[in-house]
Amino acid sequence: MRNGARLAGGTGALVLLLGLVLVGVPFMTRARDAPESVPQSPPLLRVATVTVPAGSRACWGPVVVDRRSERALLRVSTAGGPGPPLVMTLRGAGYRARRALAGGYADNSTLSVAVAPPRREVATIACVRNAGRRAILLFAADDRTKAPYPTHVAGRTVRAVPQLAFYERTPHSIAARLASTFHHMGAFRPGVVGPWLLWPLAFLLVIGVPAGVLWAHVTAASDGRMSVADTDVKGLERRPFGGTRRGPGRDKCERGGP
Amino acid sequence: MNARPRRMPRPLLVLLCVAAVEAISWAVLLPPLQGPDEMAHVGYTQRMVEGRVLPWRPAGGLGPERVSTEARIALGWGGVEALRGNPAARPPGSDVVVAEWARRGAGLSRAQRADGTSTTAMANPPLYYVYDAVPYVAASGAGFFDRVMLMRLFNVPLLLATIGLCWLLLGELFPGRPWARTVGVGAVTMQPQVVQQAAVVNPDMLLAAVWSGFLYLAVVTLRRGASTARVGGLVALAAASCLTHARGVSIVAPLGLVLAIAVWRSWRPTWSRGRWAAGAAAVCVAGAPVVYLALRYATGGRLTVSSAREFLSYLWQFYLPALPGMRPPPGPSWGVRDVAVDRLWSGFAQFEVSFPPGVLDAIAWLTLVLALLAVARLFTRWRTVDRGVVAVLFVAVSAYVLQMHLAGFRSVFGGSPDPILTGRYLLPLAGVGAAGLAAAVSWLPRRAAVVAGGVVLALLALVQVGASGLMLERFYA
Repeated sequence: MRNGARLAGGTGALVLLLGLVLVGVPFMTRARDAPESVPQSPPLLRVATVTVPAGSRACWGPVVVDRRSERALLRVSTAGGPGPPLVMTLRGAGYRARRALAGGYADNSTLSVAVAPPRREVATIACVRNAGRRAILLFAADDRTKAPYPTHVAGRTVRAVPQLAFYERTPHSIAARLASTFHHMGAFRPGVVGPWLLWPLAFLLVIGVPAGVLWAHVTAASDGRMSVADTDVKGLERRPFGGTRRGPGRDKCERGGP
Repeated sequence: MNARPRRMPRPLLVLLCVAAVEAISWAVLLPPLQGPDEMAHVGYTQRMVEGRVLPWRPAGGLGPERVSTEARIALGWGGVEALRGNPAARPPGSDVVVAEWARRGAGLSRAQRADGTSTTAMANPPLYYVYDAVPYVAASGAGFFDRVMLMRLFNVPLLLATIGLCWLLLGELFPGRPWARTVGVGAVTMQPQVVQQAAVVNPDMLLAAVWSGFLYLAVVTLRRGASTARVGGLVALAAASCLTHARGVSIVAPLGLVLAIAVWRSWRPTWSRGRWAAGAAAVCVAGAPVVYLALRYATGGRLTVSSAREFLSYLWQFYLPALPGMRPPPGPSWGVRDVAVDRLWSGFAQFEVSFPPGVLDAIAWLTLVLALLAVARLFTRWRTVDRGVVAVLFVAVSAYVLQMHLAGFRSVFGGSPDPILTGRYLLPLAGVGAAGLAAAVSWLPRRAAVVAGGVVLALLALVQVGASGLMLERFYA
């Protein structure tokens, strides 16, 4: 039985190793163009828009910009024609970014605006000014996905919040961002949750858990005492799912005796 | 007389440690309140503790959903509502946003914690929420999200209890086969949906622990005879099941059967064929009103021959392709594959995190093969098995699943698009699933079975690690 247990452990370990190398490593190292942060996601339940008349400005926030916010993505409807020029600004304590966008983009375009990232994360007010001669519509959210602040357009307050996401300049892998991911995970959790806890926990989850379950199986299979019991257990005449059947007690147990 | 303390078997100890690591990891990995209906369950506990009321309203009348002011602020600034089931959203991870939330949440009064009026969970019985009130009260001086995390972690002991009780159950079912026991219980430990439910605020884990304990005690009672303690334990666990969730009410069927078999075995009557026939007729007569009431419930009080036929058609088509002349069942296309594979082995967070279809296909085929092997194993050992135990396990599974079907049909027959049945609802049957896997693997010659068990556990460990990776990708990539 010990040989069988060793073989089980070896085979299981090989399966694990193959899985982790062939699937796990590519999964963790594949570059993805995933958002770095999403101050306002697209809505789930209904489409909303924020109208920005010609010459007017829509502002909303606080929108957090951090060291890896290198591109801002907005979605704009021009109601058919070529889009007018826009100016996007991000203003926060000790930080200001301004970027002009040329007109002529297509209707329903997702505009990627290059952003100069701040040295540390900062709460900003995001604004989009319509520098053209016709109104635009910023795709927004006004359902349960809406951020908890309103938008101001030309002195008016509207409920919907324009969709906005920040990306890094180039795609990146999960593995390359693990350190910042573990920092990210600490938000809205008790103070004890931080990188010092998450690194060992990740190690235990990826290595310790598979190794532990295999070890438990090998130990159970190679336990000499238990293996002896496997073939001969006195007094347990009836086995629900197998094992030996011994002695005259069978009928007593199953059929209620003589 | 010195009783020697019994040492916990090392494999079980390791499996418990593994389960604790998994559950704690998932509790951290899954952003706050992103478990299924998690805010509703937190809202129940909060309402109960802060309002000093029992919000259980079994007979409807829940009113419009409204969480407390404190929770509403946390949902907004914590990005909880934006993230819920929305793959385009990401959880806010900035200290600046945390500070914004803390600024708005500071100075809230007790009344603003207690003004949540209603959540969908308030139709549930209160036992789990009484249990979860302990961490809520213990952390009442902490912030909202700290309380939620502690409530999540309070599910970890329920997972450990489930695993320990499954271990005991399989010890009874496979005496002297420790490797088969480890394969079965190891599978429960590696099952990602089990781990997710242990990492979120949700009564399903308590229901799983209660049912695992009940099944273990039922098997012990059948194999070693009834005693006051055993019968009392069974009744207490059945009561706990009913007080945890409406789905738990079906436990009365296996309870009745265990008690009947126990009485029968102690009584040992010698019946003639005529008495058997009379007994069977009496059972049918007694069961007819139960069937009537069940169908009446399933059809929402509109029980006719046509609606009863529609229920049977729905039941058939849940498992098998439609027969000629069968109309499509009401509601969405929803079958056993959706529940027992796609939603049991996938559909994490708010159902939006899933394995690729190819992985789920492989799991479906493997599940089917193992289930057939388990059934075949049972029949080849039919002469030697304790049929009372088999009957109780069968009735437990059937009653539980049938009750879900009744509720599911009631929902879709009434025009709702919600088929009710989902994968995590199967967790109370974890012990039976573990026994099935152990039986399937033990079909092989012993050495090959041990090796096959190792391979199965390695594959399940990969599924567990893979599910964690999908969560990481979904929320933080």
